[in-house]
Amino acid sequence: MQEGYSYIPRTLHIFKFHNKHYVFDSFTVRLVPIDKDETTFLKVCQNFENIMDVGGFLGWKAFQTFNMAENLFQKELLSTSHPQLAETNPSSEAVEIMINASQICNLNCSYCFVDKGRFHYGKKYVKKLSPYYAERLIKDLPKGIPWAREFSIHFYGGEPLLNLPAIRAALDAAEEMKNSHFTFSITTNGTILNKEVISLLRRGNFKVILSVDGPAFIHDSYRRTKKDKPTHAKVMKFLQKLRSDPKLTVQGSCVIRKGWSLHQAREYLSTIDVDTFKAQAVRLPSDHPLALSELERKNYITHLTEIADEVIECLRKGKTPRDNRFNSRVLQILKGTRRTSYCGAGKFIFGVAANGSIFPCALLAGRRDMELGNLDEPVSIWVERGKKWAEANSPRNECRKCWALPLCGGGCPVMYYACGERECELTRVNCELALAIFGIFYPDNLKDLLYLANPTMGKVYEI
Amino acid sequence: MNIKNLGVIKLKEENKNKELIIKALVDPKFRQELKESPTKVLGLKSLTEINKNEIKFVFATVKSIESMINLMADTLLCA
Repeated sequence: MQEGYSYIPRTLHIFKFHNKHYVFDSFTVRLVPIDKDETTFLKVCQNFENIMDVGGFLGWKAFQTFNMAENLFQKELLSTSHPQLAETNPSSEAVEIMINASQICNLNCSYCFVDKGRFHYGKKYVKKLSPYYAERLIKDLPKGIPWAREFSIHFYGGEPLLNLPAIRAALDAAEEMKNSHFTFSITTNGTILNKEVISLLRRGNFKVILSVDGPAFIHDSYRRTKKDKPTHAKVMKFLQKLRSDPKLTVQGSCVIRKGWSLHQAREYLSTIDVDTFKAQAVRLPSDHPLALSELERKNYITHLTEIADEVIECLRKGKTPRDNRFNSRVLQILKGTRRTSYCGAGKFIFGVAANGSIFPCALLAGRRDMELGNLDEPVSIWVERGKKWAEANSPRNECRKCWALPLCGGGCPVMYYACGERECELTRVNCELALAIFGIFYPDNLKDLLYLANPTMGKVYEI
Repeated sequence: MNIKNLGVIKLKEENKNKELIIKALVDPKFRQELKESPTKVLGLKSLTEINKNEIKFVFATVKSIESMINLMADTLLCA
């Protein structure tokens, strides 16, 4: 037994998954399987600072209390001094640039949270990025960010395919930069299909994130053109084209909202020809007519658990799960490091608005107070400002008490204001399920978790 | 910098390599030793081309896992 009867209380998250009990230590980013008695004891421990008080509260005999405490000290779940804080996540060597190639859209989806590409701009704003800026960005990036081994260029919007000249200019420039590595992805509504679109996407070996909510009757209820025409048939044609030889990688992306569940969305996604799934609850204030009701949110959480079960099944069979929402967190838990920010905004993620302004994230386009610079300035200048922005936007005070902070990093500063605590609740569920997935394979089958990294396994950087 | 996909390399002892990847991922000391004296760590007299490629694969995979860890934990909805 450690000296004395007191211990340092720390943030422990105790939970159960499929009749197995676990405790997650936020301080050390460590998951420990525990039994029922340990669970009871640790839960009570959170309210006391002395072992004997815990035993007394539970009505346990002194020797029982001593044995339990000894056991928990050995497992390092109780300690008389602060344990070593987990290291932070390794720094990224890849930089993601989200480019709002077009800040207009040909659709009029009622749940659009970027105001059809307007983002935070007023009535008058630049609608399309010029090819000159697209080219300049690609050419300047390697000089301005010399530590990056890879530049991931993500065309976003609005509907980015409304601005093919900028995409073409970026591809031309990247092809000239033979000593730098660029990858391309695009988030599109899949309604603009012509030879040039397909040829550009193939030329850049694009990963395509394709918005498709469900079968026609679901998709077409909100994803309609400005002239109120349905779009599902067009999207299916677009998908077919992407998947004809040579195939492009496609992620099907569904918005879960009132009347359309996560379970239904995933069932649907499994019937179409996509590589991976993305299906998430619409991020809207709770009073929005398309926001999930309380019951729908409960079901959403149940469906997240079903997805975690499917992930476990896949990993057991040596397959990479098609729903990759848990991947990065489970691998982080495996590494045992902590996330210090929600994402790399300002550090290794930047957003470019159509007028060439640079923001920590594309979603902040138009927020003058968040602007880091513009494409006429040297890259190193806005990268430096981004670093300062990221430091200033550390997790909120209320996050510091949350057990999920090392896995969440403090939530998306852009989305928090739209969704608030409701978004936090879903993040905590996702964190707990990531821990549960890890717990199933810990300690004997950790190698099975490597299937989560399969899409990137085998990439070798040669300098 | 060029990127080359070595995913096609048939790993001789896949499980052993997976264990190496996990150890190198979670234990920085081990990773350093594997880098500096691979023969000692792997208990080999010398390294064959296959061994060298396998080690390269281990380091590359660790790097890509670390990049994945940094990805946004909850992907955003698309517009």
